Amino acid sequence: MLQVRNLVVNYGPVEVIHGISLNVEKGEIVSVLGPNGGGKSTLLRTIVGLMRPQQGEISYQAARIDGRSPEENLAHGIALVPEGRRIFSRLTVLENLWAGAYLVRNKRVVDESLAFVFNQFPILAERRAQLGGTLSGGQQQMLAIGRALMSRPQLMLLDEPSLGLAPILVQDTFQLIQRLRGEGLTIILVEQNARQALEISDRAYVLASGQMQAAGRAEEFQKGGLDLERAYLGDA
Amino acid sequence: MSNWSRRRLAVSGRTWLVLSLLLLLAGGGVWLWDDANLIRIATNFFLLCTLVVSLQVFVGNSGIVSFGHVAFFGVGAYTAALLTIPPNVKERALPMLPAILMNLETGLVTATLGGALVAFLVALLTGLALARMQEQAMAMATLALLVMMHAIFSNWETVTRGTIGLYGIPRGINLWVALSGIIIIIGLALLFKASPTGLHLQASREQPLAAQTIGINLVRVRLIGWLVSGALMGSAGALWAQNILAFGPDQFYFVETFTVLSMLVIGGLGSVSGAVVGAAVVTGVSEMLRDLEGGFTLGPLSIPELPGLVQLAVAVLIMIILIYRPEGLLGQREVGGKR
Amino acid sequence: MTPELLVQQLINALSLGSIYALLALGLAMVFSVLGMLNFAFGELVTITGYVMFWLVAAQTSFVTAAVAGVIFATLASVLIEQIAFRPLRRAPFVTLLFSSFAVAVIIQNLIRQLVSPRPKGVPVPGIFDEVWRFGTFQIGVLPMITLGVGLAALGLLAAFLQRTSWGLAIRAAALDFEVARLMGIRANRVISLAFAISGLLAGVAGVLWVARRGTVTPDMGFVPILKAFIAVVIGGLGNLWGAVLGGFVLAFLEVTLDVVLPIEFRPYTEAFALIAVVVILYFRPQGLIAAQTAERV
Repeated sequence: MLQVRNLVVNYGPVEVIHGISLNVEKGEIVSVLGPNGGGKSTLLRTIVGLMRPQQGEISYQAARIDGRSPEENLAHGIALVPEGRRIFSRLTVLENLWAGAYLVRNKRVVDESLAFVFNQFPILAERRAQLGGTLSGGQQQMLAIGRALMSRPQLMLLDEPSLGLAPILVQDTFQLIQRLRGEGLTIILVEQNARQALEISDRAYVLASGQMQAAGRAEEFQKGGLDLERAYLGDA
Repeated sequence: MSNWSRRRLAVSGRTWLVLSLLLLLAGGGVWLWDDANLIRIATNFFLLCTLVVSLQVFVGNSGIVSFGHVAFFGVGAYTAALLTIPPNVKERALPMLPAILMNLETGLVTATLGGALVAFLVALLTGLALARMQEQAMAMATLALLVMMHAIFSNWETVTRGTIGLYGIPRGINLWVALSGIIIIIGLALLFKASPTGLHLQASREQPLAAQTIGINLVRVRLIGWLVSGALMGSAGALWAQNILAFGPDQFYFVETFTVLSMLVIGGLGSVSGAVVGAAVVTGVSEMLRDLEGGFTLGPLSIPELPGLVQLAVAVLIMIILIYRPEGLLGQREVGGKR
Repeated sequence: MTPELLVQQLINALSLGSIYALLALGLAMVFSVLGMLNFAFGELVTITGYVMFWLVAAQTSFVTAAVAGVIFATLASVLIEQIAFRPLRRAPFVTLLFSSFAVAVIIQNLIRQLVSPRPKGVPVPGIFDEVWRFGTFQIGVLPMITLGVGLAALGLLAAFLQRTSWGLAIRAAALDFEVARLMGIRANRVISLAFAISGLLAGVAGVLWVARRGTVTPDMGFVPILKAFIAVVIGGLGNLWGAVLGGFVLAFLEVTLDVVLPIEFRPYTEAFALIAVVVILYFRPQGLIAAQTAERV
């Protein structure tokens, strides 16, 4: 569904991703693991078009998408749930969700999506008139994912969804991700919480120092066939 | 990171020598040519350079725009005026002036150092608050500073004579004094750029957060940059006052702020040489257009006065440079230094 | 103070406040979406003024001239963004600041060249100078019109921002531009829209400004942008409704200082307001109101 080939990305004058490749099939959950500052967020930001690659190709459903804007990518079904959730703090919960459905012009479809999201997260329905900034961390995470779902994406990129959440909420979040895959979504999950991410993933990549250090099936990492720690340190 | 680097000092020294030599050649050439108008232009140009270079010390190293520096320039100018105007003139122009100031009459060097000192004190007073702010907030606060100081210049009649302004400053400046002034100020600016504090300030410009994590005290380095730059700006104002001989509060306001900042942008914010180059370009353009501004005839066409033509041209120049060379003509480079 | 005087001052403050609120909202609109302080904002007021001057001089009615002034300011705002800011979209904050500064200087000097550096009169309808009397109360017509027009404009804009999907797009982009793009909100479109609204607000404020002054000058945009700037800082950078509130707060502050301060301190009214700005920037870099909302959270 998504292919990344020899991607090079710069942050100003500094090269932060040095030619990586990645491949995601429809219906998979693929984790991208690795230490802080290893280039994971940059990878996701480049896939959705917030950043332009220096070199390399990104294709999605057999079409080149590097150079497309985030708006175009969203219209083609790629949604990013950004790191730190970044909900619109001074919009209400409902307005946040409407913003997520900005590209959907059909009112009926919006209402259906809204019903789906409220069904997944009943607490959001209860708090629909509240300002986003007044929600708890866990609720904000639900809202961020719910907001991304409003555009009815096919591929969802999640950047550190467990960051700053209590352990029980982390569990919930990962279960939710599995449920979403059950609904037919393909998911790329960027996580520092490697152990739990591997539990729900089909495959995983380890990205450290801007390079892919390891790649394989989730079980291989879990059983120790692939050495996660050494990959983290960038010398696998 | 916290020691003087010999290599950087050597590079700065070379830049200083090259720049000084170029300015000396320009000054000497003009002097030999012996044309009163050219000498006037060159003197003004050197004084303008002191202004831009002083501003560069803060803006260039910290990466934070200051709209307030022209206020320090004004503080320096008023200080120099009060120090140098003969008592008999003061008695007529500023009858309410306190006796100590009334009877003072100092020479060029004292007046210039006095301008620097008072500007330093004003910078200290404001900098203690400003240096703690975030970059954008600080830029905006400097704007408030400019307007505030202008209100003081325009209304503190006892000392500034309000909107009418001061007159009767004895001429302390000639071509060579102006040249010495700019050479000294360039030297100080380059020295600051190569100093540990200057380097820390530059590091904070590139990456404020990263700079903090490696132990740079952001507030401290910004404050020092602000103070050095403010004091230099004050001395530049003092020198300028002793050349212009009469001035009013409106000469330290938006038009001047824009002019000085535009020279810096045109030359390249990060470079002391850029400040000089920017001043040269703007002076050149202004002098070429100044004659046109007063009106001229072109064949059968009689072009009337074109007020504001110089400003207009400089603004257009700035737009073009911003779009095609966002880093300015020199960028971060210095004359005589290897990249 | 007599009740009559108090009411008069109150209406003065409210009418001045509604102009400041329009200006502050216009400046905040662009600031919150692009993160840039648009120095050329004041020149939109100037453009409104000169369009009105031309049309009134050409025997057009004041109202028609005012509407045309607003339209021109809106178009000019969008055009300025396309020419001067769009090519610099990826440039740092400083560059955009300079660019807007340069635009302001260009517009001012073009007017100096093409029209005149000297003030030009814009005759305002006689009714503006009249006073309504209710018993012992005297109320100026112009302050009431100003207040009415100002509140109507703010109300319409509020409805637009709160009830339409474009309004939602603007508010979302003002809060977090990047995430707004992730929602599929087109960057260029929302920026153009923000500049259009900003120009519209400058235009309406400009009409009211010209009605008060009765003259136009090339540098007439300076005071409006300064007021807008102060109000925006008081209200919270990037907080749209905070800017409106900041406008009213500033007007009340000014009117109060004018009444309370001894004559010799009057010239420093602005300096006092600016000291307040610096103090606010120091303690609450996000602005007075924004910081309070954040604390309530």
